[in-house]
Amino acid sequence: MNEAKLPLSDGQYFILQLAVFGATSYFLYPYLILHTDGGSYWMPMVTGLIAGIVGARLFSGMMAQHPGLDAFAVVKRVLGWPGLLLFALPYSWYAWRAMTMIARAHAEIVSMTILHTTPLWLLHCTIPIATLLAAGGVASIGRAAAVFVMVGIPLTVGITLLGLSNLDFTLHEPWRATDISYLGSKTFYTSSFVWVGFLYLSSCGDHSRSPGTLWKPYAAAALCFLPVLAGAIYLPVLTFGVGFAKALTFPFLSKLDSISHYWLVIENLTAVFLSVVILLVILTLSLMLHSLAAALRALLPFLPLRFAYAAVGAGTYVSALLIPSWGWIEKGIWTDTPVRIYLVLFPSAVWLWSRLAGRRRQRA
Amino acid sequence: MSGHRKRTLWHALQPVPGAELLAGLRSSFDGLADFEAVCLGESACGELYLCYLSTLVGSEHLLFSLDRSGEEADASLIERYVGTKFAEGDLPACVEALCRGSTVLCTSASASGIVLETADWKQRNVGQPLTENVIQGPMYAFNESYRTNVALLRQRMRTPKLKLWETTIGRETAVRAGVFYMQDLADPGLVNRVKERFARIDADGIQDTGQLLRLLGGKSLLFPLAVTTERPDRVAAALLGGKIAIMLDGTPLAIVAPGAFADFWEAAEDRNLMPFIALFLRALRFMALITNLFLPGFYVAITSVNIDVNRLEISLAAAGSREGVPYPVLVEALLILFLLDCIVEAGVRLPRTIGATVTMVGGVVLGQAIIQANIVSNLLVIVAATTALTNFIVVDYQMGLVLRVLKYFVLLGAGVLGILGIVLCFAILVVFLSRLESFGVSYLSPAGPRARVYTNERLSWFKGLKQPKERNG
Repeated sequence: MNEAKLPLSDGQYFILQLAVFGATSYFLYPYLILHTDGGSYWMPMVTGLIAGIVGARLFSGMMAQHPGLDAFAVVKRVLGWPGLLLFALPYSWYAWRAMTMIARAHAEIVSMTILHTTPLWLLHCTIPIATLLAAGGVASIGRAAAVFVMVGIPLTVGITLLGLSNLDFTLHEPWRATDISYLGSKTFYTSSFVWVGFLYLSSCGDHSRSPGTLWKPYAAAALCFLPVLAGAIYLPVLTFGVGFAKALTFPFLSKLDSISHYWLVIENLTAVFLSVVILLVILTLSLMLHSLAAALRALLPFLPLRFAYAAVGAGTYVSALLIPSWGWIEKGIWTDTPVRIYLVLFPSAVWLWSRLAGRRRQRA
Repeated sequence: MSGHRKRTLWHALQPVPGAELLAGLRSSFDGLADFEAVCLGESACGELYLCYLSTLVGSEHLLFSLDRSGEEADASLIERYVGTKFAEGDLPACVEALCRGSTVLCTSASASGIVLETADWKQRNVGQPLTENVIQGPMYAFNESYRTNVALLRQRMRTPKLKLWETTIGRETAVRAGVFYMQDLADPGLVNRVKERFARIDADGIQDTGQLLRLLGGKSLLFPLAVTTERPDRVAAALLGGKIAIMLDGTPLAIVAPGAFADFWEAAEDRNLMPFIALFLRALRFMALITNLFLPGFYVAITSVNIDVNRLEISLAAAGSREGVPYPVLVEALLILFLLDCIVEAGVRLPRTIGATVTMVGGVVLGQAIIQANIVSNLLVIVAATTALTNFIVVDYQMGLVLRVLKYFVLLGAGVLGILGIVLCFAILVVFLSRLESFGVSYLSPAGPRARVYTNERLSWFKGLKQPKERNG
């Protein structure tokens, strides 16, 4: 089957973005937002959403420069080898770090909550599975995404809805606080990792019929997922109160632990929730692995594709095992923030350069 | 028969110096007790011989009389021959024709002979489907005769747009195979791809479409890559959906390709039922699939790894039912599932009269005894019985076998990582399926990027809802 002839529709891009949100939103995001200054949690969320949509718009604008090519090929065509190095190297660094931390974070959470004695090397089996999926190409990822999201998203949304019980709305007042002091918080900028899902689709641009509109599925997915994201932050606050929720490492998972209904067959919702989220994690990891392999191939065109996937998969697995502690993950996500912002802003440089080059050509 | 054809045919029997067709035939069929070369007498061209394999030739076709009065008499002989077609053939063609049940008319000195279609193949009558029963729908099925099967399909689809491409496969057996497709509906690329695959087949002989399917390509070692069916109506519906059908002489099962995972859950009568009933039945089958694959694993997970997931009352009940069982839950589950699979296999292989007894002894007596001996718990017997029952809901036999294997895989995953293990096994299965292709089309179609055959379809669950539209005016 020729992959180039099987384009992804906007709906399929929407599904992929939804999966990325599902995979990245639960493990650290609630903690980070709860630790922003000001106490108006909806504001950092909405700010992040708007920034994400603007970033996606810039990114799809860059992709639209040369439809039918992935992000690396577009950058190479517009800015040449120097531009490619300026984009692909930081991108590879960021993607590798992000993959490692997402995989390790979920392994840690599983180890802490449901499988206390299972060794971490076994819990990292998500990485080989994701590598296998990534090696199948974007079309395979798109197909698996349809199934994973069909199973994963209704269950995660359903479990979040179950969290609506036992809420005390007086625990978080005033609701409409508009304190903008969160802009000075380190954790606000750290939380931006949730909103850069469009970066992971950089290797999928050649599968889109109209890369210029790729920001729309992103925006739709972000808007659809926003209530769930809000639930992950507000439900613990409205259950435990702000102070206690802030003291918890995983406020949302602790909230899930507190849910109990006589008609609910399952007692430990956290186990089910984490198991289901793993599907979305595998999908996100495969997207990142695919884009990292594409970046490597852009930098080293002679590299055999299979070797690229094997190297990226093995490298991620080993580096995820080498992470010493949970604290290191928190620190790692913070230290990656400048690279993240640089990658989000990079498309504007491509766009500007392209415009300037166009004008120069017109004059000539 | 036109005069020209008569002249051409009798020209074939003219003596050629050095040519020994008869001797060649006798040498090729040396040692075959049913080979007969009957001398009919003298004709204008010399001694006239009739060669045939007596076990393949219908006696009514050999009713003729021989007149010794020259060429005109020979012509009248052919006129009276009770058959349909005849042709001229050299030694290899005559050998091949004799193996097909034809009769060769030749002289001792001719280089070629006249091949008369006299085959009388033994075959079953057209009967009811044996593996794809329906309540509402046509009640006849293909049999082992290729010609009959082609005729059955032609009777359902009376259009010249139904194209048939034929070939023979097998170096030794030379079995006839045909590829059906609808002009303008089937993807020409798909048809060409299948023809190319046929050309690449290198085998001594092929006995069944299952074998043919493996030879036609695909790297799957586990999942069947196309639906096999014995129902002409199902083949016709698939052809109208843009797919192709492959038939093989000597087998009642036709291959419908390409096949996606969802196609294996579509029963023949789904299209004959009310849309929501069809949807309900398909949902039921998918639930059965989930139950069959994951129920034993789920039992093992919640009783040994994730004990806290279940409500305390249920966990206590499960623990109570396991009281006195000396093995870990995983071993217990493996044991009962292995026994159950043995019973199912015995039921399939044994003669029908004994099969029921074995199932009764195995299922009831052994089940009761195994519980009383504290080898497995009551609850697990319920789980195992439910698993076996849901396996029989699977429409396709081959897919049912795949599920029987896969439940052990999920069981082991659950035994190691509990519910997370089940989810990871599910993920591995989906990843595996997402990379699988059937005749160039994704096995997970219509999920994800779509190939042409599935372009116009919505999610597979809703396929049953598509109804023929009323014609305007």
